[in-house]
Amino acid sequence: MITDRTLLFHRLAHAWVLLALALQLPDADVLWTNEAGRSVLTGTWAAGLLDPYHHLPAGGVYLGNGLLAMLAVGGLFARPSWWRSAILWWLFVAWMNAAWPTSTGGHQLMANLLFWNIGLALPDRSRFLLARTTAFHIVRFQLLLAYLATTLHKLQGHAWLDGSALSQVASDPAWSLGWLAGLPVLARVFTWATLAFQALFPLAVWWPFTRSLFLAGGVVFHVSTGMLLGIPEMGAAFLVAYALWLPEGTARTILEAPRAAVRRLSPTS
Amino acid sequence: MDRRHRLAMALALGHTLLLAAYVLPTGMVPERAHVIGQAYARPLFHQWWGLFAPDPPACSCDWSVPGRIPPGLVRARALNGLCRHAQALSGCGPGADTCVVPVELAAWVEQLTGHSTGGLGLREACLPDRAPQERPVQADRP
Repeated sequence: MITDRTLLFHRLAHAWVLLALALQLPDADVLWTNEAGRSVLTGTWAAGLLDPYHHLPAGGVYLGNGLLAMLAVGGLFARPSWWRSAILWWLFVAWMNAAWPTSTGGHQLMANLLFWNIGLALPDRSRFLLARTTAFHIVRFQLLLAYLATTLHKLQGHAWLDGSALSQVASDPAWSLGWLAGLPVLARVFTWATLAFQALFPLAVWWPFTRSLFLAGGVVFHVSTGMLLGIPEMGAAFLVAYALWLPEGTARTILEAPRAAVRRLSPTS
Repeated sequence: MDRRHRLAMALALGHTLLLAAYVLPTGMVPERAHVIGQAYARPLFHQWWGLFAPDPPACSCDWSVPGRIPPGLVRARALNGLCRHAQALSGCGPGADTCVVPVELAAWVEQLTGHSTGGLGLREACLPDRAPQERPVQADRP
């Protein structure tokens, strides 16, 4: 039987795809019709398979993304199916590789999560249990690896350790953090808090109390950085991965929240 | 924990270790492990976790065009990503008088900025004073 947190993960992943599509739609005339040049797959065996738009007529992305949107909407309501999840993953990766300059770490994270979502959506039969359980743990470890990797990359430099990193980011007009440039003490606190959060997350999730604390803190962190830095897909992708770390009861409450809200709003209640 | 669950955990750990060999800083991973991790992860599981790391970029990066650039969140992000990509190219690095970029990259920038009549420039402002500098962009036509 599919667990509530797996179902929540599945639905959130589909909602994320719709969010990413919606954000690109205003610029689709450019982003979905032009050749972006060599993607990261160039020279690998996967280039032909996962970068198909490279070989198709311009505008093919529109067709693929139309199907992608339909599958994403369907996934919000339908029972998880491995083959629909597989098509969704393939269409998403094809789009990501066609429009790679618009991609963020969030798109790359979701490409990974959507791949393992295929395993999570396998039928509820004992011969698939190993694959489903492996996919479950891989998604969980993937989240921890992301935090570990970004922490270790940051520890290679100086700015995150001496607390100047966010002041530097704030002084770059490309990011909407100009207000922080004039508050060096706050910027220093945010810099160290970010580093501490990312460094401790992979440890904190193994104990129920610290897990709840870090998951709640992570929601605040990813929502705020997603909005403030103009990378909402990045923040939202992390929140999708959080679903498999939630207790079953919390996942059930979140899944039932839309129905409960409708019930509250309905005049007969 | 039954045998199947232990096997699933071992497979997941193995996958994660291979990914780690690909995404962790290269100095922390033995060269051979990094090559194996790259062969395993790049085609299907590519990811990069170096945003603002090891240090945030010392220079801002922006395109300069004769006119206004259309607004848009993803468009702005794509332009910034392409600008950073250009900055990292050998023909556009610090100290170069002009910024030489591949034709495809220049074409994308022209499409995204809505200006294809030439006059494209790369504008940057570097720490510590963030004094603005601008260099003309030249498309590399082999």
